[in-house]
Amino acid sequence: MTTNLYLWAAYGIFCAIPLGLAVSLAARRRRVQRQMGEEIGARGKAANGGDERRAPQ
Amino acid sequence: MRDKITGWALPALSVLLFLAALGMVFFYAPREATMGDVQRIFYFHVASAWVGFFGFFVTFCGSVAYLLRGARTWDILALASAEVGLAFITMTLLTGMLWAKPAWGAYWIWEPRLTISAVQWVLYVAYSMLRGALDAPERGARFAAVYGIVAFVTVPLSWFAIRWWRTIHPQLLSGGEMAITPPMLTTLLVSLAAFTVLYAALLRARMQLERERDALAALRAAQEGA
Repeated sequence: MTTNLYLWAAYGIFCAIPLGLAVSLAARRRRVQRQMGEEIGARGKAANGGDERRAPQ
Repeated sequence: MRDKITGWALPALSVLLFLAALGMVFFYAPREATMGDVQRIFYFHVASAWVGFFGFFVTFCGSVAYLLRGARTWDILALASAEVGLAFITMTLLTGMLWAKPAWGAYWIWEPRLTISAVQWVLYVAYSMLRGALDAPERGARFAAVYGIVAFVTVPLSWFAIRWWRTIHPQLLSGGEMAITPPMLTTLLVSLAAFTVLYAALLRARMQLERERDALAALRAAQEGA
């Protein structure tokens, strides 16, 4: 019974670590993409002289 | 379009193979006579160790290529592979400890293979921390490349530790013969395939993240320059 606990704990680790890394990578990519969106938005705003209603030239 | 298909195909294939390997570990591979069910840790433990070693080998190759050619792509490959490889080696160490407790009566023994593995883990944790800490990108990348090449020494050392020195760590190949039965070997090979595809999927995602970070940095630099 105790032996099975070690087995389940090991397979818990085998599932958790790759899943955790995949989730962490996805979250970090989302953050970078959001920051890129903000940068592009800020550039567009600056190009329009601060008026967000005008399309970027 | 091709990129989108690969973007979904690799993670989907890795999930399918991972589930198939899990099924084989618990329902296909026979119960080992001496150790019982705890021996089932072996399939994923060995597969993650091999893929972790392969990840560090890719870091080594990427580092050499970066020093020779200076292209950022090689640096990205090296750093991404080190991070993914480290995740696999972390799994190997933790699950090895869980296997060792019922098999050896202790979670950790300072024997050659385990000692080299611990040193290797610390070296690659330091590598990952170093990558985030260096300010000058090009100098930092060159330094990291040299570090990545030197740290790789631990891989052949770990591989040969059980052959060169007296160790209690089990050997898969003993006297040129496999120490496991054919169904066990099939399960191990499927686990190895699952972990290899999983590595490729994670490596691709990590490389994409780094490329997007570069694009963001370039955008910010252009903004500041304007």
